Amino acid sequence: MNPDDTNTHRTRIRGMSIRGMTIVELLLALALLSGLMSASVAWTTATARTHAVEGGWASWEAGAARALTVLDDALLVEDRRLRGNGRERWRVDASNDSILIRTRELVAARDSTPVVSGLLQFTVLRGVLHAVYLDDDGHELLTRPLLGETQSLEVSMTELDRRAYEITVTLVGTNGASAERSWRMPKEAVR
Amino acid sequence: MNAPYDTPRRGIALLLVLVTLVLSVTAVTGLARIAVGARLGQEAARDQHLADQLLVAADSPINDWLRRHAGRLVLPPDTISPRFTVLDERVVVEGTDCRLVITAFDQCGMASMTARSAATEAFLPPEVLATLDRLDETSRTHPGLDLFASGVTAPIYPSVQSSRLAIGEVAATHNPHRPGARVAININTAPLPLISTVYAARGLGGIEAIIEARTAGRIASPGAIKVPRGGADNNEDHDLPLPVSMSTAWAFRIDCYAGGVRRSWWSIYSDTGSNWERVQRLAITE
Repeated sequence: MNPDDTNTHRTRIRGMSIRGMTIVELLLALALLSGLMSASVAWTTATARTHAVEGGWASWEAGAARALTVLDDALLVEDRRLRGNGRERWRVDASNDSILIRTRELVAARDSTPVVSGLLQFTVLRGVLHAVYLDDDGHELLTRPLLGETQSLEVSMTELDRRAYEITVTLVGTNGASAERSWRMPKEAVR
Repeated sequence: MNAPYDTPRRGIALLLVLVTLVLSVTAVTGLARIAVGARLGQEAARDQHLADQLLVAADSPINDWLRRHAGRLVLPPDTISPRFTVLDERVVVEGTDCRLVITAFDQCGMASMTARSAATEAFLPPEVLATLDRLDETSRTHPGLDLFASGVTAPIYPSVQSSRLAIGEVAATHNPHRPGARVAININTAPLPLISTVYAARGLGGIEAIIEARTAGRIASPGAIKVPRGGADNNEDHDLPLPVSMSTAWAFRIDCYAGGVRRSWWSIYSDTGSNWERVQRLAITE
């Protein structure tokens, strides 16, 4: 064999080894890549699903917190002229599944004229928490949906001392998540 | 001589590292996002709760101020807004920087919205008059600045930062302080043009004495200066304000700052004869 030929053969082999992989290595790489791709797709899908679920819960919880803030504000806003005298000086009327608050809110009536609503009721209707604005006679002026996917609204009342109750409102979502807030109310303000 | 064969292995290793890195970064970013969101939500809820606690706490300094100071307040005669700073205090509550700012506005130092008279109507902004005309009965039976939530371009609630006159410092919702009572004008806090108009309509003299007393920081008394010029008060116009030196209704703007949360409220306090009672509280949303 001509020494020059041997050198040429080596160079070719070296050139091949530098430019590409052997068939076994290529197959191995492809198998590894497929495995990794499958794993990453599975991971991404699982993560996205978890995010969606977590995000949904977080979104419901954020919505529930906002709904409780509406309730909070309704308790802070007040107008004595919208309240009667004597026994009618209550601000909160709590039942097991709804809460009625004497407050003040300007709502647009059917003919778009602003009307002052003095009563606000929070209640769950067909899985949606609603804020129902009522006039002095208890007639419905406006109903505003506040939070979907709500299973129930629970109101509990605990006697704190001789002067006050603690009212706790709990919102329970259809996914089992819940949000609650408590308020201390003087006894004369509770019917 | 393994070097040429190491290159594809390094390539695979790099590929593995890259995929791992992408997966790890995605996972960590997602987790961090959820954690930061939850943390921010918790902090916002806590700050809001603190701001609401500040609002409840504001009742004490307001009542104290009403009992101690409200009866002997005088403003310079060139004042256009009957406002007084009650409190501006910073405190740290549970590690959170909080600030409570309370500003008082004399309801008897403004033209009444509910008991309008020809003499004082000129002091109500045209937008206010238009809204009152539109709402008519509601504005009389359920007075409140929230009625102006739409249809006006002027600021509704007076602000500490803004120099623009707001409706809430020129037009009173609770003067008279209770239904059936007389409309009053505090000659120590009301703008002088308003007092002059009322005095002229009632046929009274003594504006100079009011200017002199207010310039000197003394309380002017309507009893001493109420000199009938064209006859005594004949009650022809019941809605014409009665000059007084002490107010029976005050409005307060309460700004509660807690961390990054600010909640502002508009509260009206009325004199019951023996005490002061909060008769209205509205959320300032503008």
